[in-house]
Amino acid sequence: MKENRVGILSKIALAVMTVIFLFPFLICILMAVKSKQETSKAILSLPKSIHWENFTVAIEKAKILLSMKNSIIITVCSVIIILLVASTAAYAIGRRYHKRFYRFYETLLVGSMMLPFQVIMVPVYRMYKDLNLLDTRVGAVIMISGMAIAYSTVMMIGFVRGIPIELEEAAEMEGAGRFRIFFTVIFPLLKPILATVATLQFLAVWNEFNVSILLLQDEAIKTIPMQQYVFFGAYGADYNTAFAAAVIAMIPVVLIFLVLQKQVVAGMTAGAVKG
Amino acid sequence: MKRIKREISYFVFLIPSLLLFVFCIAYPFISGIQLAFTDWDGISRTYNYVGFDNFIKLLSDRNVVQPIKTTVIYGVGVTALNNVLALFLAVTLSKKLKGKAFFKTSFFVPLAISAVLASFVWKYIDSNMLSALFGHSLLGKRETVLLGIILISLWNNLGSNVMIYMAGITGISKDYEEAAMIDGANGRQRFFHITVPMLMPSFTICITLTLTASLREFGTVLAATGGGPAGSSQTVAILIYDYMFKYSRAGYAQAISLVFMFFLVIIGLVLTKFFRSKEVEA
Repeated sequence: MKENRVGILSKIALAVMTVIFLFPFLICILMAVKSKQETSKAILSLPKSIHWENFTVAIEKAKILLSMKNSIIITVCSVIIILLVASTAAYAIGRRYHKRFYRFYETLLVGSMMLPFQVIMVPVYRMYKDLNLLDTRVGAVIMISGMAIAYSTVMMIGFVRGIPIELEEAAEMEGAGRFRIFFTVIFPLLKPILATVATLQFLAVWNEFNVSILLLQDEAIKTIPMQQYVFFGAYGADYNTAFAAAVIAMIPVVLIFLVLQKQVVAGMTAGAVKG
Repeated sequence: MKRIKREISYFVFLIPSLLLFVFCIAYPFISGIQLAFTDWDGISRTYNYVGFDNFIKLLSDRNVVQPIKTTVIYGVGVTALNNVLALFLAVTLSKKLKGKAFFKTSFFVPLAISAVLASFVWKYIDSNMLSALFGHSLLGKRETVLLGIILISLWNNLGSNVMIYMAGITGISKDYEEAAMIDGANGRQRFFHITVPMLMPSFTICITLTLTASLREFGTVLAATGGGPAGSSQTVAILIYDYMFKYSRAGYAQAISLVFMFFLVIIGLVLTKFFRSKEVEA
């Protein structure tokens, strides 16, 4: 009897929480298609007709196309670099696991994941200023990739170690060099973990804020989160346009998330097991 | 000779990673220790060494007291609420349930939303709807601003802990549950005597990660309030940023960040050790 009551109560709580979690998405869509007058009358009412012009105004005012381009370039480049650098390093560490040097480097990588970004914020800013890398896409890509390789590499090391060495030895006997072995034997076998890391890093880089606010202050170079940070501040009053901008920014990342949800779950839980 | 060649062939694979690591983390970290002993203002090319001045100043700096309090309240608040809710959802969603995939997705999707966007949407909800509900906006009042930011963080990040707890629950053998049921254990007893102890590895990860991540929270706070109203939501991370960019005291900001890092690492290690000692062999 009591069992039942707990069950019903937890189902009610689940339903309430689901509504709360979906509510912001509902608000976004509703606000994005309404006019200012309709909004001031009642926030939750449905619009008489869909105001598509909010989106065109948003694209123009929020410079969405420009920041979308910056975001795509920075995300694609960073994710490719992260995958290449992390998988090659994981290969070296995984295959030389008995060597003290490689183990020490692994420890360094794990240790670096505990560093708060604030501790390298000031010196990175100074270094970038000296090297004239502030407000450059290249600079942002390097820093974002560099900060992500520790986590990505550590996730892959165990996976590399699980690949039987005999597969490599067979290729070695046939006279294949290390690079050929890596790209024809190892890399294809890493596909599942590469997909997982790619998905997690795509989300992380797309939404990246700490590095971007430090290094990308120029209007022409801003990514979507940075552009929004400025835009939401400046156009706070024109909510319908701001929400239309928000919806446009949300659509690609939410769609990709929904399609790759399995990868995200795999990544989050696998990364957690390593802890 | 052949052995050395072989070693080199592996080492080559490590070089890109070493270069990136040194450039992005090791060098900044070490030069940061040096900067903490200077009066660099963040703008000019030169600076003077001032010895331990920055650290001595920090001991008597009244401006850091409130941010430390704020950071601790925020960190503990987020960690407690996030883990209680995530555990509840994971347990509920691990049972037989209609439309499970839909419920799961609703809690996971906010993970795809940036802190800036999450803050913007919730700020609107707060000032236009929650204010009608509570009589005032949560983010606009000193007493409730942290609660408001905690809610934004929960919405944005809860999903990942739900995932980890669900994976942990899936890993618990059904035999234990069945054995306990035969012995007549009720739902609550089974939860506290089987689920909780068996989930200790998940607690280690979720609690440690949530706490260390929320203590260093930056984006959500900056986008939601910028530290306001009247500095009441200024966390240590925001304080460091302000010292660097608003007050042009980069050397001092760096000294604070080193002390901040020291405490974060200690907290992380102590928590991990504590929870690891509670883990049971399955």
